[in-house]
Amino acid sequence: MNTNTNQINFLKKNSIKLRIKVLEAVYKAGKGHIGGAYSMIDILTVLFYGGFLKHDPKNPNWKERDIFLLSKGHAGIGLYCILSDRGFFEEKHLFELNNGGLLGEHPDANIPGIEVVGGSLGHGLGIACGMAKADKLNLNPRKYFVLMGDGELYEGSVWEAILFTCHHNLSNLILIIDRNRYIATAGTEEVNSLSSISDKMHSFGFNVIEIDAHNIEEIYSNLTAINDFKSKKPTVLIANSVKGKGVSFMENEVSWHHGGIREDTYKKAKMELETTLGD
Amino acid sequence: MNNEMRDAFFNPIVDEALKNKDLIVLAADHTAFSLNKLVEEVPEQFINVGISEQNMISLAAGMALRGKKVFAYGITPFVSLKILEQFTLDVATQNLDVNIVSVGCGFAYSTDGPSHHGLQDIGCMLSIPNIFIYNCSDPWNSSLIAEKSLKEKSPKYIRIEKGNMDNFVVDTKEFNGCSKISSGKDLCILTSGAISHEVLKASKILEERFSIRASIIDIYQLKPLPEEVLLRYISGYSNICVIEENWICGGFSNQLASFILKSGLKVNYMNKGVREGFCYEYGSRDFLWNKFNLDKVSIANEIANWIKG
Repeated sequence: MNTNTNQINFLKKNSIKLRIKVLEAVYKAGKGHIGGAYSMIDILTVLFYGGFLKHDPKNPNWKERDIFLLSKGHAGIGLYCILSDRGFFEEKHLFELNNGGLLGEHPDANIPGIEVVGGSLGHGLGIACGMAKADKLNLNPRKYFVLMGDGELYEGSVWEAILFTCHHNLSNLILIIDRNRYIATAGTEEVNSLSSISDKMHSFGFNVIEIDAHNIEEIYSNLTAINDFKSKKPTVLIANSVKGKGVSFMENEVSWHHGGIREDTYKKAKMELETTLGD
Repeated sequence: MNNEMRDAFFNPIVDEALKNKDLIVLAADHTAFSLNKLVEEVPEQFINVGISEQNMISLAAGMALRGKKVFAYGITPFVSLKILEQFTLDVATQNLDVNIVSVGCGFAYSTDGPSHHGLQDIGCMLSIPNIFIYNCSDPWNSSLIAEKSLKEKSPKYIRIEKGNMDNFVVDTKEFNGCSKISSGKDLCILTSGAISHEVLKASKILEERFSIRASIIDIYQLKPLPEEVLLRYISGYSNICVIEENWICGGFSNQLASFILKSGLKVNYMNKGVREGFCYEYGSRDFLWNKFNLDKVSIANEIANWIKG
């Protein structure tokens, strides 16, 4: 597969810039969900900037758009930074996060570029199933991308939706599972082991692809392959990620799921990200 | 004339579905005779989602976001209590055209135990902003509510009944949210759903044995309350009684009490519902009404004691 080197380099740099923006917004807000935003941000960067998701920031409700649903709504700040950068709304809103402005901790449908209310886990796939099924009935070729946290697999409603997705062959739906192996309080394997998600998804009837969620080339090439994929099956992308990825002291540290950030810590994190950006 | 309550509701829905491909009926492992025509003629518009009520409501939200009008059908506790969050967050937040059709209200599933009793669904649904709540009590208002649901694009929770029921003699055929089904000067009884029939029978006992004449208002729109019409009906009465086949804590008595208080009317008020607790009795609906003092004789006696002080 030929991928454009310039584009890949752009995506790599951009994912770091977006991490810096997340950090700044959360610092200004006083608190936020950095860990889960960082585990998914490389995938979102490739989706939104790599040409895989049809969207029009000036016309968020464009009828021909593809649909992206962030089921793990707590990572909203990661998505907001992208939506703002794409032009869905002004950047100033990021720095009013949780402080009387447009944006709160969890997305809602009044925000340009957001389709549904988030925050309660286990809803996104079901809603996407309904949309994707309706589009199949209407012979509409739209694509759906749902990004779910691995912890959401604890919700029973997710399995109801998985059964429906596969039974109805919703091949217009791509489920991405952010496999960062943590919930808010502990590791997933310590609480109720999720073990091999791949085996589970295979058994339900998905077309399963496992990727490194922080390898931009790998994300890009797999999304390209999915885009060309003519399978009748729905696809699940199991994205093996690191919670807090990008800032060494946040990685795999459960305390960075949600919380405040002190000035010295903020500066340290920002310096590390800026160093990565400069490399 | 067909007085089957599910047919009375579903026939207009099915007729419309045959003309409108954007009308979808979802069902959670549940069906009705009147839906067979839909399944046979436009099978793609009827989807049995299996025993997965929560996902059914999320699916319905997604379909409504793509322009479908969705009816989601299931058994009362499972399409109210179990799906409360999906209906609130996925549907009501965006005011979507999702119509929950709930069968098994009160003690309708009288032999199935507490899991199948619908005694708190109204209380659950009253707590959700943006939605309409309807409660069918006879074939006439079942069809009327179906027609209304077809016309209006909003989230709705619709309680339907099963089995044959008689039509009430009502004071108006307009969609007013409530009808007067009996006239009397001594008190006004506000009620709703299947129990309205028992209340009507109780009013005959009240008149014959106690010379108490009651007006009865059958309220078929519980949210928003048809306040103007209700106020007209209750004005002039000094005794107002609410009777429902729900737990009081999970029903509509409290919102009616609040409405009456706010109206400024000086009245004596009593309510009567299913006493709090779980029902482990198994028999006919009449048998359970009797066990819970909601049979016509118990209702009449209690009202008579209250009125006569």
